[in-house]
Amino acid sequence: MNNSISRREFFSSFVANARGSFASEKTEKQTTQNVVFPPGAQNYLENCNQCNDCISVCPHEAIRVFHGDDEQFAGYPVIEPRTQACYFCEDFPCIESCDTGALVKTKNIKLGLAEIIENNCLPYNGHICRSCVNNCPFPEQAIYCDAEGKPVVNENICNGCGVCVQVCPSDKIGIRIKFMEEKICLSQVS
Amino acid sequence: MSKKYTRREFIKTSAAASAAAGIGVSLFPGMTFANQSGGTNWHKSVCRYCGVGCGVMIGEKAGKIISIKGDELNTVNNGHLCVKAFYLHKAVNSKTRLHHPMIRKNGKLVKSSWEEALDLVATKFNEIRKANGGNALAFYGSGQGETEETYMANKLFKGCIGTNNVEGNPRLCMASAVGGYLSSLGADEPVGLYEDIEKAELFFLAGSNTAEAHPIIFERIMRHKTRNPNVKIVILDPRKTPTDQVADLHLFPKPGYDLAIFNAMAKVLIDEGYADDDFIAKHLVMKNGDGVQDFETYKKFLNDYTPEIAEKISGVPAQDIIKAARMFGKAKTAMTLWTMGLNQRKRGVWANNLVHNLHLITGKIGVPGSDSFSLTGQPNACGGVREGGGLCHLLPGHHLVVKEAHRAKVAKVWGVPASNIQPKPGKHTIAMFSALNEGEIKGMYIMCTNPAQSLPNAKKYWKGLKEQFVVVAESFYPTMTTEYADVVLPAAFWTEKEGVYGCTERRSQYMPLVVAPQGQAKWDAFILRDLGKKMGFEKEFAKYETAEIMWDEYRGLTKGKDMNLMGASYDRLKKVRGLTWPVPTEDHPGTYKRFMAGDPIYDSKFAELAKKEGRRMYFYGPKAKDGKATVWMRPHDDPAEPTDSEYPLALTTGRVLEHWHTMTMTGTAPELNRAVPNAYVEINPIDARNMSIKNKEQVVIETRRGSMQFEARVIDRPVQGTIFVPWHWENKPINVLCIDAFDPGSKEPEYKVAAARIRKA
Ligand code: SF4
Ligand code: SF4
Repeated sequence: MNNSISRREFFSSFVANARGSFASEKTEKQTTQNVVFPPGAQNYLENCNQCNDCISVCPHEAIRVFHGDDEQFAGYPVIEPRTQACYFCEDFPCIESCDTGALVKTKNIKLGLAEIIENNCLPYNGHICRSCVNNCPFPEQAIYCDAEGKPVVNENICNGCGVCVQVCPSDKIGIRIKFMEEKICLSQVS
Repeated sequence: MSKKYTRREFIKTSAAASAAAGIGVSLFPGMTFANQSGGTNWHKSVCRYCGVGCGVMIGEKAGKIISIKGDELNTVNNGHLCVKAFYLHKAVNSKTRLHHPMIRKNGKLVKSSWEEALDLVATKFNEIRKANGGNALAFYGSGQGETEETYMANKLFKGCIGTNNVEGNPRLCMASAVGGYLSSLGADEPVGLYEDIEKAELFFLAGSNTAEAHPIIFERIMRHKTRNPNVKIVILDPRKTPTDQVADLHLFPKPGYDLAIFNAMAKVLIDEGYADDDFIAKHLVMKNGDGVQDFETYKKFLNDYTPEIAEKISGVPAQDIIKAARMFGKAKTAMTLWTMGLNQRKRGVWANNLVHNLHLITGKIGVPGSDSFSLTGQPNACGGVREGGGLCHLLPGHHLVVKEAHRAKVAKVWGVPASNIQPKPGKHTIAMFSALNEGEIKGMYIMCTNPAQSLPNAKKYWKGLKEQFVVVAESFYPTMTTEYADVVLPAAFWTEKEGVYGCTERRSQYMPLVVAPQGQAKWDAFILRDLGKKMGFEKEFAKYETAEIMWDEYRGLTKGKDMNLMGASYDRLKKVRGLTWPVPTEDHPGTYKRFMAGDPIYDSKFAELAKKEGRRMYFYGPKAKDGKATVWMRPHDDPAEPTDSEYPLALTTGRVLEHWHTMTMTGTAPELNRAVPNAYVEINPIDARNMSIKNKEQVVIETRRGSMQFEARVIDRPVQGTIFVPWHWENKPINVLCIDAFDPGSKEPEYKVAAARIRKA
């Protein structure tokens, strides 16, 4: 497919598709593990003053106030991909709206990296599923099936959009987005 | 991202992972609850979805179905399942289950009693029958109904009411495969079994997105290839699909233009010395429309299909066709697997014939690892409808309505006068729904299927559904079809009834009743039985008190037939993981390959003859002469609706992995809806650019039958000039736009090719 369409154009994909009301599905509590910061986050916990402007401009309601128990993230705008993955809008209205320097437009924005949770992911337990692979918005496939049908993340391509997390049909989610920023990463994992 | 960072992250996660493993939490979906709590009973059964026929274990606790897991002892799937099956318990317990009969009163469906509903149906049907004759009534069933259910319907309509207007949705998916097997090999259904997969060197996947439509088959192919790198896979499909993950070569024909490719491959195989002359001489006849021809005539016929000519017709480069043929020829063993891409075509039977040709002329049939193997879409299309005789020209157990002896035999078993069974085939599906539109058919009983959404050019047939007296027996409510029903009867669902399913590989498997039907739901076979009694056939239906009685009677009709099921008693089926017919006696293990040594029919009747003639196979089926299979000279033919300047795109449809048919079942699992919540249209990026259509934009697809809005998914999947839409969603019933032209032989509609155009919404 390569250059037939721009990557960005392609990228604004399936996310809206994947929106829906999952009323009867049990929703997970927000934790530092299952949320990421909005696009272009820089030293986010320090810089963000919780004005919530990014929340109000996000056309896809992907950004929401963190409402989990963890105090470190309390009140910060976050993206919880299970509910709504990031669209990676062409013009990043969230970043445009931010004047504190918490969200900054850089060249290669990544929210994080997808990471398979092998205990939960169906193919890692001998079964057949490829929803994340089928739905990955990158034409070059930031996530692909290996020879045994198990999904594998290509970290060079993946930008942590979270579509895979949103669509995963395993009732214990088989994939998550881990933070890029080292500091956050530590707090996220610990 | 720095190296150091990756490493740390790596260590952290692996620590987290091993911690989870350490506490022994099994995180298999659907199994969690069962594993953590005692008192779950596991029952061996079969998956309710596709024709693969995976073995499942149904987890029941305190009278409720709580989870599903794979049956490790079942050879079909060895304990593995695809994601759909995991959530079957959600379909069982769904809020959309129908719990009581309903009757339309003043335009609205209202709750009623069984008594009132069945009385109404019986009275109406009898009135129609009296005023307009039995042929004013019709039954439309399903490849998802159990064999016992179809058996009851057949007896009621063909044997008692006296009409052969008995059809089922396998007409829409398997009829061309049946026609192909009968005309090429002389008998319906494949020669071999799934176990050929692990013995094959080459796979030719033609018109099959195996990875999504038959996931467990794909998994077996993939595993086999991983272990044996010499295994090669060739795909023929106008669309790149997840199946391509394993492809060594992909031929992209324009939809509907692939017949020439098969002929060109046959030509290359013969020209380059890959033909098995001995097998050809001893086992085959060549035929065209004029009758039997010699091999030279066949070769001359193939001269019209050089790879270059095939390239011109199909758009597939000649070099690729030659390559595919050589791969097929060189491989010691080859398996062709196909499904709707070949069957749902105006020339579906021809496409099937041409695939069989490749195997016949190279002798790649009747040896382990080689087979011409059609994949079935529904769990009991083979068992219930093809074998059970649920089509307008058939009677149970591979008997035909046109044969007097067959009618007499079946009528005797049914305890009805032979004259009750009409000697002429009834109306095939499209003709039947057309007759419903025209009022020639005035009453229809629909069981376990959703034709208002699934028929091609569906909207055209809503008229008849609306105007005539329509009864729908369904487990789920509402569906598009119940919208038109005059009476809706609540049917017991999978796990709430026992019965037999027969999957793609001639395997019959037993499914137990695990829990009581919900609400007032009743087993379809009992509904039909009771309706029969109410219509005045008290005596004829008196004996059917259990499923086993029905099965045994049906089993008796298969005695001595090519599909002998005499050895497949309930007792036995309850213990084993299915039996592959012919299985003539209770001590027979079932048959791996038909028409050759090891097949009990061959061994007892034809082995000697074959030996005398120096043959290794004897095609003894009803349509074969002298034990020979037929190589058919089938020319190229355009699809019914070729693209033109007005409608320049070819529209094709299909399945996604996560959903099934009209979603009455998969739609009940939020997890599956989450994975693929909406319909969309796949557009090739070059086409999209030419039409200035952006990804995710709303577009309108138009065909000569109507228009519908979809979200565009610009993606390098369909070949240029082709668009693809998955067909599952009720709010985007793409079949409304499909053409209802059909194969003149199999009467199967050409769902896979229609001329379309696209504009921005
Ligand atoms: S969607 Fe989830 S369960 Fe399925 S393959 Fe991807 S991570 Fe695994
Ligand atoms: S492959 Fe087919 S039979 Fe097997 S689990 Fe999936 S839907 Fe069921």
